[in-house]
Amino acid sequence: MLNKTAEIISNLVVASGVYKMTLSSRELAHDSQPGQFLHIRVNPGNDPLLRRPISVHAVEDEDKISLLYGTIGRGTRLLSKKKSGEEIDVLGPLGHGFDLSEKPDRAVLVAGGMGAAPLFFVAQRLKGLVKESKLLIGAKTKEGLLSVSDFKEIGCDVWQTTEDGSAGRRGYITDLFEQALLDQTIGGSIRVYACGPKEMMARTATIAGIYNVPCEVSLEEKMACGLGACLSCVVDTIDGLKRVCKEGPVFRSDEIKW
Amino acid sequence: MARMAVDVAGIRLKNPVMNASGTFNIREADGLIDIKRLGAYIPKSITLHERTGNPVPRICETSSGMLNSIGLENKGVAAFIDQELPFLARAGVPVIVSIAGETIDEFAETVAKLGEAKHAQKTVKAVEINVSCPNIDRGGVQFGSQPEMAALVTAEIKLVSSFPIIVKLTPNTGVFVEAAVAVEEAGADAISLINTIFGMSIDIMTRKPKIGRGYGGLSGPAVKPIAVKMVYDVSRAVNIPVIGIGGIMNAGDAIEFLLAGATAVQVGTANFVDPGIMMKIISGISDHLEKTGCEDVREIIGKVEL
Repeated sequence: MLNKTAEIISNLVVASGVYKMTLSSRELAHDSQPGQFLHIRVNPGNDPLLRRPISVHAVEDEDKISLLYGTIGRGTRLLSKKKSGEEIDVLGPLGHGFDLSEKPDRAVLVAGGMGAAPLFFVAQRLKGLVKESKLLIGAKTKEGLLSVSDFKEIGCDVWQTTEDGSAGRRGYITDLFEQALLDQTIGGSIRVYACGPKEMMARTATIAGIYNVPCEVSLEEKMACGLGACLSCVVDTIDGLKRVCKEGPVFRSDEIKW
Repeated sequence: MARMAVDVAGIRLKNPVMNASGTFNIREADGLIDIKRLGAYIPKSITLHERTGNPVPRICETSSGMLNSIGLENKGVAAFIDQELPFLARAGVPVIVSIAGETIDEFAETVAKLGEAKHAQKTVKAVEINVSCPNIDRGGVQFGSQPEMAALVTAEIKLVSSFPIIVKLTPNTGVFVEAAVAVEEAGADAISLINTIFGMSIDIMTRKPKIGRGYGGLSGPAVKPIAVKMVYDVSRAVNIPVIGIGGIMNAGDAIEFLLAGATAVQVGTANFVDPGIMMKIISGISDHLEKTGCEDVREIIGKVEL
């Protein structure tokens, strides 16, 4: 069944306005693929009414998964108040994730802000299967660079930018992307996996296109059902409108009409 | 076990519960519900030609409700006949097809095309005429909010339709009772209401509406008391069955609509929250009848005591 209850093991603040929630569920740990999301009912009853879609951050072990989320509105703020031992109603895993069937020699992960959340799961799955995983991570400030030590711990080569220059190079993460593609310390095929603000992903898509490198992006859109019924979360693609919740959230970057 | 069957627009439904158009897709419902248990299934509204719908964001949450402005995105009647109807023919559930349009001709032509389709006569039990969509520029609320116009659309469709006709009315008018009476006189076989209520929500930091189109239609538990009153008023003014819609989240809400005068109900927004909810509502109505000593669901229809 897609609809299940999962026990909260922990729900801890990891940065200002960012929380990591660990859920106990053998089924979710087994079934979830990088890029997929859970549709979470924050409270029973009518307030908040709709579920909140949150991507899977990591599979911790065979019966635990974690979510990394920002408190961006009322729903996620209420979610951040949940205590360990409480149960939450979860629909998922939902959506189409990253295509990891083909392993490149070099994986380039491009993360902007909260975009680091689903990319950690990608790095986890690619560990040991690629010659190199490079994480390009950008945020407004140093505190917004999420999970950097976790990425390093699983062997990622981490390049950082911040808009205020408080860590890494000052600027946008896309400023480093071209350089990362050209870095031939380790040769071979490249694939790009990106998640972040729309402008960042559009820029990443353009550069990946110029260098003719396969690139996938994980999109975000306001959604209601999460199941492909309501047609709220559409995105314009070269094949017409597609649903972020169903055909996405991960798309090939050259498919999207940016 | 109490008897749950009801008759709406000449169709015998095994129970009074169906989905509201555009809120549930049985193609995506595998394992979430037992489709065969539904009273009827209503796919998302179709139009004569493909429509791409409105810009995103198409939804936003409000207090105990939501605004939507999807804009009738659909692939058009021909694609529906080719791609959806064969699947629906095998689904084992009575199908009511929701039809929308911008002109009377468009409505009529869509219904006529559907009538000519191979699987249609045995699969489609009725059409629901959506003259109440708040999210298109012409043919939605603009038709349904004027009794004469709603009657004219109904009469023109009646001429070409081989199916019973349910007219879905809008709450966005002071003359909804008049509209109901007018469509009954024009030949409607049943009435469904309410479609969503015009609404707007503004982001105070960006000063922009939270919906791409600027405004949308409000649904969910926030609208339920308005809907119950409208169903009450309309069911007392017409002699054809009324299908109650508006913020039904559980069996108790559905029973309220039945007591107010609805012969059947449609569940909308609740499907987004709990895709299994319609099954629970069917069981819940049955349990309530048993608990209150009713042998037949029809015993409670319109039985609100004033």
